[in-house]
Amino acid sequence: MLGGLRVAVKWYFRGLFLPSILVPMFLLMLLFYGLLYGYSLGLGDSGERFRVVYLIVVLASVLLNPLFLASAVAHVARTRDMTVFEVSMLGCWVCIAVARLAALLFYLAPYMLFQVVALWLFVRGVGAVGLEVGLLLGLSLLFYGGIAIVLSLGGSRVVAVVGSSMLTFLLPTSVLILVGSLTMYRVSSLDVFTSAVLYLFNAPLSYVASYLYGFRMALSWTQGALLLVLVDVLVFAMYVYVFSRKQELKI
Amino acid sequence: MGHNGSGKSTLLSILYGGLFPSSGRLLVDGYEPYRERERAIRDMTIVFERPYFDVNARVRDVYGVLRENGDGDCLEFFWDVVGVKGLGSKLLPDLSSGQKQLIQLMQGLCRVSKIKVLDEAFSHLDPVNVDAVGSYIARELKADVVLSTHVPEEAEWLGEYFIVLRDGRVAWRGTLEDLARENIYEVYVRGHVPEGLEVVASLGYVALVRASEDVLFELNSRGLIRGFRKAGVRVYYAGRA
Repeated sequence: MLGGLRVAVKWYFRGLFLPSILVPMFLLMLLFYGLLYGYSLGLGDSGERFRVVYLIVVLASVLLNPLFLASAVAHVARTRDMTVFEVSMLGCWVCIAVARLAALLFYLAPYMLFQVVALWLFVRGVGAVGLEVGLLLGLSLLFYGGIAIVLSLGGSRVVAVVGSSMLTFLLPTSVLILVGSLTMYRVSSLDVFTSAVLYLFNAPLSYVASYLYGFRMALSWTQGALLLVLVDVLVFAMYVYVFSRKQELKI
Repeated sequence: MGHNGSGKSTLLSILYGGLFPSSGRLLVDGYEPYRERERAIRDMTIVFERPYFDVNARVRDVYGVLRENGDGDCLEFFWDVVGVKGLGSKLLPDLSSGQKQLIQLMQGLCRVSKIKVLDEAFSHLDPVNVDAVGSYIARELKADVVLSTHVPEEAEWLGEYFIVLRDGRVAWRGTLEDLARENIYEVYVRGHVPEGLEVVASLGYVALVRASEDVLFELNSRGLIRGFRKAGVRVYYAGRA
């Protein structure tokens, strides 16, 4: 099994980091952060600068995250025919499922690290929040990665890429609308269920918004992060199980 | 063998564990492959008809994987004798359909496994490569092969035991010896079947007829037919016997 896993991981890492895709995307990210950093330099008090943090989180979660996730899913989601070929060549169902997850995580890792560092540079000294905003952004992306990998079980790359991109855009956006409503109706505290939904759909935005608009969530950021990790582990385990035991692949 | 939609690919998919049967059971060495998929995929490799690759990998990458889990002699045959080496630097999606099928065959035949499941695996190959790979299967390959095909001659070339499917059910099964007992011949027709022959099935330029060898020899010498041979699985494939 371990030998098969090593070969499968090597196979899935081929062509994973394509400069033609990664360079424009990281340039876009640098431009995005650079422009907002330049804008924030002109702002005086920390309250105003905190609004920039909020703006960054909004844009990163509804623009950058879907982009990066789409490019990751485009690599790990394979057609049914290609999957049959790989299953036959590599001779191990579980190895392929694990190799796909490994490729997804390794692809997203540098991006997530970049976000953690970039957000930390922005948030330090402008409020009560810190490194956790970037961490929540990364975990949120991982949650959508779980959804994407499950969608890839459909055997269509187009469905997996478009479907996961749409969900990664629409669900975080729904939190934006929800936060707007909470502000409008001056809600001061949220129950556990609503807080959990907010953390799942858009953890960094919910967390930053709770500071900005002054509502209290029933779950702390550590509880929210733990929830995201638990759900991800569950989704990833389910993916490996369904792929290796239940997915039907007709030749 | 069987017509389009007769259930060949479905049967082979169940055989390698990729599909679950809607009814009944299928056993390979005493186990159900769709219930023990890891064991099944260790025991079997698959080559299928549709040559389609959508990965950003090169032919030498497939070769690299097979060097780790494949049979060295088989790889050498494909790489050097068949000439896959010349495609080494090409991206898989850029290959022609025949070249893609060759890569599929290299994968299916060279990855170490006890059973090779080949679904219309020669349909895109040119005759030279069909000969090379088919001869390799017949002479060198140390594994059992389950092959589906539309070409009766191909089946008789490589097959020892035949199953003809029709509408998802077994229409006939047996060996070449079973076939030889039938008094049916394949006649290569010039225009139309000469009068006096009992036609079992008409398949374009080939007709299946029930006749004695003497009569057919006479017709052949008079130029009324362009040759004949003892009928093979085509009889059952045609579905009229």
